[in-house]
Amino acid sequence: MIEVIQTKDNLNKYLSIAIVLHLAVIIMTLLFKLITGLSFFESEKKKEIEVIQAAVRVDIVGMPKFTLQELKKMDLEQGRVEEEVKNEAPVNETSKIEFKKPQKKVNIGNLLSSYSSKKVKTKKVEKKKYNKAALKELILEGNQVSKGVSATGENQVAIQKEFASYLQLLPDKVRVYWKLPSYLLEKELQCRIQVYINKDGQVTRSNILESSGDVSYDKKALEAIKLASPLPRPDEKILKQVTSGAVVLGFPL
Amino acid sequence: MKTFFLLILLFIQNLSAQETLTVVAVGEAEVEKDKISFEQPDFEGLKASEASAIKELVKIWQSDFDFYRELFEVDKSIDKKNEKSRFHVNSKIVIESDIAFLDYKLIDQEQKKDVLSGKKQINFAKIRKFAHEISHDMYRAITGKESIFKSKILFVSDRDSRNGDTIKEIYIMDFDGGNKEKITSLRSMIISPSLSPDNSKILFTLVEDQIVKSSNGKGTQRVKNLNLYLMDLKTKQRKLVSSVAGINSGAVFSKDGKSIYLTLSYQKNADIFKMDLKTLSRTRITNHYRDDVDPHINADESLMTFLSGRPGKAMIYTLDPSGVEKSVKRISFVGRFNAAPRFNPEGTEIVFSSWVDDRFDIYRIGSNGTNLVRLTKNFGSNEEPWFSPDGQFIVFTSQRVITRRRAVQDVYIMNREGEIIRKITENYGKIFTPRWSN
Repeated sequence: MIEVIQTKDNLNKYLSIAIVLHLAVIIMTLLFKLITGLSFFESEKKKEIEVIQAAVRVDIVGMPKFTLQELKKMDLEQGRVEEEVKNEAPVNETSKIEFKKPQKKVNIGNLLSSYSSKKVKTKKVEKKKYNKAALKELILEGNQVSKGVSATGENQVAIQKEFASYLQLLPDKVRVYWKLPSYLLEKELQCRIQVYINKDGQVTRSNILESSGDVSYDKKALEAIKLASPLPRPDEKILKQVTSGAVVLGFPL
Repeated sequence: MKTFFLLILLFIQNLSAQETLTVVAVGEAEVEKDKISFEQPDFEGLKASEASAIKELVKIWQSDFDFYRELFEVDKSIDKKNEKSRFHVNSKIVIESDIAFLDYKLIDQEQKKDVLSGKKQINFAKIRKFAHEISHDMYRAITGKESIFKSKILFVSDRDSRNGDTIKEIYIMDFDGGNKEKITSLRSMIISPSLSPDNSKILFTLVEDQIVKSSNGKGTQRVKNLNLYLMDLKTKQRKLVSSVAGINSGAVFSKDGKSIYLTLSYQKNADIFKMDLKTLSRTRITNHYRDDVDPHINADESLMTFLSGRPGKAMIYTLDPSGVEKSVKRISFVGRFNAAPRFNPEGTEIVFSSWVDDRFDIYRIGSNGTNLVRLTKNFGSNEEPWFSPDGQFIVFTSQRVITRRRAVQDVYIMNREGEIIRKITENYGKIFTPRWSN
């Protein structure tokens, strides 16, 4: 009887130690994230990246009625109409658009990292080139719907479908403003920008997720997003995704 | 205790939940135009004719760069330096031992560096050639690519026709319509000319009278035959290459210039053959009971495009010219009548004309049959497209009906996106089959 009581006491003791240790690990993790701004799960985030491209596959049934110039003009006029609407839209003061890289909060962690960075030799950023063939292939593939994650239940499927169709509206909207001088275009660089979109379609924040390694190139991509904002209004069903930065715009891929 | 555990587990699960990021490819950027300005040099002390040549020089530079309007925005002012343009050209005339030189400099004002500088003896008599050569060097220094500024266009004109007799001769001109020069004076009907890869020789078909045996076997009769000739552009000497009964036409040179691809119809229906220019021996390329005409080959001679009546109406096909009927592929599936398929220099695209709404218009399609786009519309009847050597432009003829009895047909240039750059001939007869030099 005494042995049983003693075993039970030991179990409670080890259980308490285990709980305290787990809590300590969690607290340490949170503290680390707060101080450094890094996440242990960042890599997992990147692994889950999916690439989609809006394109329409057309079966040719007759000679094209419109010329390339007419089609270009239509694109431009569409852009202009949307721009006019954008100008008339009331300014939403609550949603300030941040296109600059957000400044880190001044805290001990930031100070420490800024001091330590002075001593560490900086690695030269490699300019990121994109695979032209991959882009062509992607465009030729036509509409692609994002695979989605563990879609269970009709509601989840509907959300994924809505999200995919919303994403397909974005390239045409941004591409109107995506322009580069010839010397930058020839470098065939690539950058990816994570965007946070509010319920009105306004881009409230944009982070350079993968830099091209060329400041001018990244700046041009950010400018294109700024000019294209507001983007189409997202449906309420997908608000959670678009407001939490699940959308990444690839320039060009 | 259980609730506490559950809370911790949920917290951890929430922390480790994988957040999906979806990348949306925006696509390739459009090119932003670079502004370029040219400053006119001071021509004080020069003769009046020399001064006007210098004025012409700057205008030609402006006109040349305006062709590449997808890349450059040309500043029209020439009086002073434009600080806002990305590229600026300044030049001065230097006289050394009574010889005038042009000392010029192309500056990248954005990156604050000289892109090109040079000093050349001014050829006042041939100022257009002099100007095109310098603008070519400037374009190459900026883009690293060859321009069209030194290229030529070969064409046929009926301007010598008199009293109802149609006479068609061959002419050549600068890519912008300047310096027109007559090549042939045969006072006959010439069709379908073609330039050799080194631009030193031309092929053309002459409509000639030929005496053949009568169909009833008794005596002879005079018939028209389409005979193929080869001419050296320098010596103007010509040589008969093929004169079998029927059509000997639509010839184009092979990549090395030693052979030609042509259409022959001596076996009743037209087929495409390859002919060695030295031995004049021929090899069959197509073999079909329907007509195959108008061959054109890509840069590495791995692909040939041609027009065929196989499906019942004229459609565009490709094949591998290294064999007979090898890897034949139909490219166009629509259009009432398609004509004159021509490759771009890389062989990745084909331009052709197609009969739509009672006129011809020009279309572009990928060599694999994808990406069909329309380039002209409501712009007269447009035919005979041909790519520029850099693949950025297309020269073509456009016909305008003036009255019931009169129509004009001139040469125009558009870029590969279908933006009309300009008309380059005026009052030079009816113009046919423009061919851009290599």
